[in-house]
Amino acid sequence: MVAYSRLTPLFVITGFLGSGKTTLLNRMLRHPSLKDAAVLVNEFGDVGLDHFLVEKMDENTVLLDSGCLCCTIRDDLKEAIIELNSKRERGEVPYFKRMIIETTGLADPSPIIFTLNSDIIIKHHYRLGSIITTVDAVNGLKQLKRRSESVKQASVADRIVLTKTDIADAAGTERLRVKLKRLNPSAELIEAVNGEVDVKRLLRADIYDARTKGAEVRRWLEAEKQNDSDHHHSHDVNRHDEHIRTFTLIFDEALDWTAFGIWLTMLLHAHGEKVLRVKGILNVKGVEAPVVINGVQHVVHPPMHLKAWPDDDHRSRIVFIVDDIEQDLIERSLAAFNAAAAADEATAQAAQ
Amino acid sequence: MCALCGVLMDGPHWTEAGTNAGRIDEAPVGHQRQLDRDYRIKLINRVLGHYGCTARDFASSQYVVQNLSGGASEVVINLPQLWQSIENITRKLADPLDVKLIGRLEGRV
Repeated sequence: MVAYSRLTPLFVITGFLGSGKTTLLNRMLRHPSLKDAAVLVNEFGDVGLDHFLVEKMDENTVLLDSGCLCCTIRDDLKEAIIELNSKRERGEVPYFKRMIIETTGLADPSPIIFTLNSDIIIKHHYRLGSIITTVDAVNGLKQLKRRSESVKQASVADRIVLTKTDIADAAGTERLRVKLKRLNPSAELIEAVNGEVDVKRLLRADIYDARTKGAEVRRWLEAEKQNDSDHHHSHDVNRHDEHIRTFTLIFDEALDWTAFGIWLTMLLHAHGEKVLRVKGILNVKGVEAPVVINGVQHVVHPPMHLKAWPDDDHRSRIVFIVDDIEQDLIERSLAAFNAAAAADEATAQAAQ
Repeated sequence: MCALCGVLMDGPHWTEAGTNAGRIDEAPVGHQRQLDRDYRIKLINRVLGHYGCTARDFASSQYVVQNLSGGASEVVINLPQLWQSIENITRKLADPLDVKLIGRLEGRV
């Protein structure tokens, strides 16, 4: 099987209605580095996309037996990707090296991510690149307050592109910026200046790109550290969306990888819909290189190693963005699973 | 699909990477793979005791989950399926944030 980092990356562009997704996509596609990208859109809007390969998908969702809304397979998306893949293999379309998926404004991005990770053909040819969320500087604060889709789109993002800052008032834009940083501190916040963005920054530097993954993890951890120190100094209960909590768990002792896998799969089974993001760097017992984990709701990407620790701190640090789950309970639970494994190991050693 | 039991197979689950070889991004092979599976099953059973269930290895590729009476059992291929199986068998949510389960695990230390 092809190494995960060498699979074709799929980038998801999401964002609320009117937040500038199509405008962003159009600008991005003009960039020479995206000449080799295929694009899937939910609807052909008023803004025509000028690109060699743009396919439309019709929304057709299948809810799985578990009944969890984020574990919904988007059949339309699955079929569209598989068909494009077959055409690429047969040489009927130019060989694309990236795929970009634009969602509808009211879309919950979770079923899209779940679909990408649940089909065996897709999993063997593609990997998730970054989730890019557009947030409109004029209406963003209102949308985050009133629309759960908007909160979800911002919470699962790897990159947030702030649009329409040229027509928004500066104070409102700053409040929005602060709100987004607190909602999802490790997402990179990028301002589209007159609609222009640094495309390379958006698409090239993702966590599975061997050239940039170390810097990306360092950025996550620094953003989290900053968020934690801000948090201790302000205590404004209204600053987050009422139910969304963002926190970092830090473990001094090395974690047992098997116990961690048992714990995280069980947590996501029971609460995956509420675990919007989990990502971080682990110090795993018996393993020298740090391990990076990255998950969105029920989907966990294959863990990977960094060549070296990004800083002097060699403790496990796991960032959670959750909907109404207590930090203390998550921390106590993981510690208990890890301690049970350590106790078993001690018993086994004593018996030898 | 397994020709014997009809279970749909998939690639190795992310939790199945071992640590003894010093890497977690590659699935272990041969004897090491079996040692890792045995260790995983031992830890799983620490948790399943709370639900009155057990898991055992089947053909080094699947798990058989059953209740203590042996009256209900299911074959699964990975951990996410195993938690769903516990729910099917016991009608209880397999929840690591259940304080009684946490207390049980903490009591072992």
